[in-house]
Amino acid sequence: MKKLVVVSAAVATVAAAGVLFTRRRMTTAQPRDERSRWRVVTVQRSEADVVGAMSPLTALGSGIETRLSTAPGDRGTELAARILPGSDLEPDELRIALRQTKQLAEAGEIAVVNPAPHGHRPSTPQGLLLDRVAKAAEGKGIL
Amino acid sequence: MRALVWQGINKLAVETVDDPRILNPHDAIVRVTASVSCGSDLHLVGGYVPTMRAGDILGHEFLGEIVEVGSAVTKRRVGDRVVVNSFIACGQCWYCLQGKTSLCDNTNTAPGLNDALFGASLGGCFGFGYTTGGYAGSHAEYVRVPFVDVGSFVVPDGVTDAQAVFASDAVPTGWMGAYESNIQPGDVVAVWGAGGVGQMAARSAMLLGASRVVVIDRIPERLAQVRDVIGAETINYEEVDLQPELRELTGGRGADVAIEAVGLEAHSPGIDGVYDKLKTNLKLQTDRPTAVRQALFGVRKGGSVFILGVYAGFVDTFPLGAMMNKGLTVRTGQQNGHQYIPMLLERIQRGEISTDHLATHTMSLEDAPHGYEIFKNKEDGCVRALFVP
Repeated sequence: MKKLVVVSAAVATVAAAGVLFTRRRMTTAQPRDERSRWRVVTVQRSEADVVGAMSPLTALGSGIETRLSTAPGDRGTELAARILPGSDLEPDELRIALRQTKQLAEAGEIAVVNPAPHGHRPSTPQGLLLDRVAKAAEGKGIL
Repeated sequence: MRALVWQGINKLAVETVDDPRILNPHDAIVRVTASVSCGSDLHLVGGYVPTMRAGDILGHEFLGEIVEVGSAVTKRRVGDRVVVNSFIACGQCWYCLQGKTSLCDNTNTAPGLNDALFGASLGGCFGFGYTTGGYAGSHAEYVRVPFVDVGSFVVPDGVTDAQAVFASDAVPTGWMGAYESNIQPGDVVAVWGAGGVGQMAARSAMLLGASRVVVIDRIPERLAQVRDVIGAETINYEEVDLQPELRELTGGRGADVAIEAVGLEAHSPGIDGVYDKLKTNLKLQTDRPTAVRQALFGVRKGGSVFILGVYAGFVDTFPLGAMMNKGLTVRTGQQNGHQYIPMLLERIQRGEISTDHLATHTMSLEDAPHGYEIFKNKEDGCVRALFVP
């Protein structure tokens, strides 16, 4: 039974990784220009406050375009950004920058966990895969 | 420092690890004085939530003393004795401002994982793997607490560690299930699960005016705690036919409010339990929804169901027809305890909520692997194991 549980957990991890890395192909038969589409976060702050926290986006250089608009229902500001044609930026970089801008504007800091204390980490295939999934998850997502 | 780490499925050990340090200006370092096992940990220990990395520190329900604060901390000071909410919330995003702190937008460092699994990311949590951000857990001598001004609460005078530690998670989780079910005076409330959260949900329902509270489980010593300490009625589902028994106790109506406090490793003596266990073992479903199914059947027409137990992914044989045709209101969620903990600590101080009876086994952190063994197997009457680093 223990072996079955171990195998099952490994299968589940692989499945989670599969979902993470292949969602776009699974859900969109013919995606529009996915790489350069607008990506949007809602920030519970005024436009002026958002502008003051946009250093993660400005660090990406001239390869992006941004726009700000008032969010409905007193939910602050909608911050949108997209990768311009010709830029070699990856969508993951833009997602990370948008999330970090929102964190800076709302919470005043960017969430981090490492370096975190931990015990011995053996280099098992499942562990290495999980490391890769966790790292990729910083920049992946529906955003 | 010493810490309890997850080494693999059903394999725990205490190892020497690095001390945590301040990483952000709103952080604090807390010297842990008590940290307890929780039923949701077992989903991690057993590999049902496969986002723990070997070496991760387990634990999320704790209290301790602040020994260091970051430069932007304003409300807490070194020396404060605090209980810390298991979920990490920024306190500033739209969800936090609505009181839905477990849904915080800004504290999960791996949001893509939740986006893929759930369609959106929930907040960070201590010791719960990458699903909730990969934060180190509390079964350790020290823990880093992000946004300590938001997530920590000074323990009132006269409240012991063994009382206060459950205000970190079990008490606010149970309170949330009862309070957000909008219990009315005269309601009959049925609670599935007589563990820490189920007992706290039952006590909360009584405080909120329920006329009758019935807790359903199969572990005799837990049911005895419900009767003797909480003051609610009990049903041992291995001794009776549950649904007719429940109907009899509720005047033929069914429960006005059903609160499920069991989670994805639910047990049932019937064919449905065998079916659910087989399917989870074969990974044809990730969770066993047995108790949820029973709650949806046991609640009255037009009643309210709160799912407090932790579920990780997908199930089948979910009685959607019962839910729809009976006109049920179903609420769910990880605990949003930040708004409730100060009030709950006062209730503990006044003796309105008893908690320390849950800590049936107090032991050194060095003995934590044994603590989880008896907790998991429900041996020696273990309801919760409390670890003292």
